[in-house]
Amino acid sequence: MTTATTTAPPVLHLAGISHTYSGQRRRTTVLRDVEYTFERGTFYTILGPSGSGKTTLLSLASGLDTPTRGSIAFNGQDLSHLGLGRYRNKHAATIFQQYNLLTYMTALQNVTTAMEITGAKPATGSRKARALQLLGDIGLDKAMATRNVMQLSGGQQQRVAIARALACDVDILFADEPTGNLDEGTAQGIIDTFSDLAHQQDKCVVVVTHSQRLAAQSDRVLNLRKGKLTEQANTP
Amino acid sequence: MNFVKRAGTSLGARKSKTAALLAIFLVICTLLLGGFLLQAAAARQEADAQRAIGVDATVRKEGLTPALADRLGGSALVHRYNAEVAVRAGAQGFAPLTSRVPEPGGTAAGKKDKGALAVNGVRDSDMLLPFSYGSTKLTAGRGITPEDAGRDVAVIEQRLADKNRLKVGDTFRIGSADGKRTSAPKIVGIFQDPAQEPTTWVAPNELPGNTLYVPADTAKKLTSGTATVREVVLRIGSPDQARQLHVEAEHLLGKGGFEFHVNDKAYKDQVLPIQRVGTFAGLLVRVIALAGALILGLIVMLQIRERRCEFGVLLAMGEKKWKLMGQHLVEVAAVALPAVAIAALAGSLGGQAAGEAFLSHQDDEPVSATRAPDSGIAPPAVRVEAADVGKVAGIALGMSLVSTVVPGIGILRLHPRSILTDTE
Repeated sequence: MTTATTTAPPVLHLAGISHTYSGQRRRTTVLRDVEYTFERGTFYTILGPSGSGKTTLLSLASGLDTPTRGSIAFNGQDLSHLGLGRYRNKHAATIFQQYNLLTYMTALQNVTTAMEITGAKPATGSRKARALQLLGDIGLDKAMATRNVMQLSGGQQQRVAIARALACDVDILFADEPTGNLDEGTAQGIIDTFSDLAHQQDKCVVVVTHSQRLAAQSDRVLNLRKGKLTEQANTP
Repeated sequence: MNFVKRAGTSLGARKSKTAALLAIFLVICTLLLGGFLLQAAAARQEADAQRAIGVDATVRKEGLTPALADRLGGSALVHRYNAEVAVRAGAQGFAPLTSRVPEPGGTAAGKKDKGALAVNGVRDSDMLLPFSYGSTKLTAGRGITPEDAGRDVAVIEQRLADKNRLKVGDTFRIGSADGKRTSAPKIVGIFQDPAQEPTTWVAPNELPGNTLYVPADTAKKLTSGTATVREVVLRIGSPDQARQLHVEAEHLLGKGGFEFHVNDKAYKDQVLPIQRVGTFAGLLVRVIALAGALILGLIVMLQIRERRCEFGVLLAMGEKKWKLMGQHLVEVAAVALPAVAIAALAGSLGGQAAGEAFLSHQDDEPVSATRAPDSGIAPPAVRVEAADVGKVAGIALGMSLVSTVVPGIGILRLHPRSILTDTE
């Protein structure tokens, strides 16, 4: 007699992914056979020098692009089967380095629009109330929230981008240098939020950064060099 | 439907661009509507002109009876017709005009002539050439119309009326040349024939003043033998229909043995210019639609390229591609539809003046002896009709669709990352 044990599949698995950019003159391979498994409830940081492929890796993992080779699976399901659009809509959110806010909207509208698109519904209250709460949590009061995002500073815009991603209530949160433009206090607040998301809400948080301080507060630190992803030895 | 809400937010936030797009749409829609209105007005005026002027086909045949003439006139191609039965009749109880020149050899002056009057039985006196060309004018009352069939009415010449102090409403008596049959028509109109009395002696019935018009039935009553029709004039819509009418006449009258003349001068003088305006308007509509689609396509394409990043961001959040296109389509359509409404308003206010400027040129032509008959064509009625507005709205929405979807497809086939950043 055998006893079957069921193990939940990893939230995200990168299976031998490679990515090559085809330029006019030459092809540049940015990622080579990257193999890694991301788990729920864990806060990851990816370090690496500029041009090492961090943003490309983030784009592939977040479903913004498809790898030249290899596959990516979410909860054991290949993204090509799940559909990149559905994956981005229901399971993954990205905080871009360039914020990528909708410039004709207010901060509040940016957040509520993301909630409408992803279908995220707060447990209590309206989407607007939830958006105002998220914006308030990261230091944007109602007056700022109702301003057009182009009237906000770079740091404030970054906070709007973070609030927008948090509002989507997804399984995996990707962030590309999310604290780059923030003051120390706000940056720490964001890091704490990421940590809480991972540890209290069982989310997977993947942050690409140059910041050693941020990396030091994450659960696992990954290094990307010359297209190869390795886990730092001293991570638990 | 969050994409509709987004479209509203976007339009509200980009007021100046929205206003610029509205202005462009307004110009295009106004020109389009103008073209359609002109086309419709030209078509209406052309139809009116065809009815009013048309082409006159004249059929002459020995022994052509009024019944055959009526059968020719009953053709579906014929709008109006006139059959002329000419008889001589004598005046009873009033004095016909006589030549002021003595009759050669003698004693004619004052001699009673039982056939002193030239009585023309007609169906529609307005179709007689002297009347339609305006050389002969009614000075009182009206002419003979198809509704007068069976009535004892007459239209007499001014000089005969003056001599006998006859006026509209009076009744006079005429008798057949043999004196056996009489008729007492009531005068419904008096006309003036500019023809002067000949300077040489002519028989009284050849004097212009002794000509009178009565309905064909009255003329037939005064005929001693079988009444024959001198000619039948058939008014048809266009020169193209003349051949078909000829075939019908052949079928009815037999091949050959009849004369068939077509007078299309009036048609060519007045209808062809209207047709040319209609053709020009049609061309204008096509050119504007094409140019408008191109201009709008380029503008919207530039806007879409400008909003590439927005596309990428929304796609990165998992927004469906059709909803992105839907948002842009709603934005462009939300500008196009008010433009159509404003254009319709402008068209209803200024269309009449523009239409008259284009279509009423024939009224400026000088009257001459060779001029086509008075058409009686009403000024062009330029009316903004629901169908015209619908066509403009359809084209405007079509242009919105093409100008949004075509450039949009190029961007949407890319992955969000490619849209947001071309290179790492």
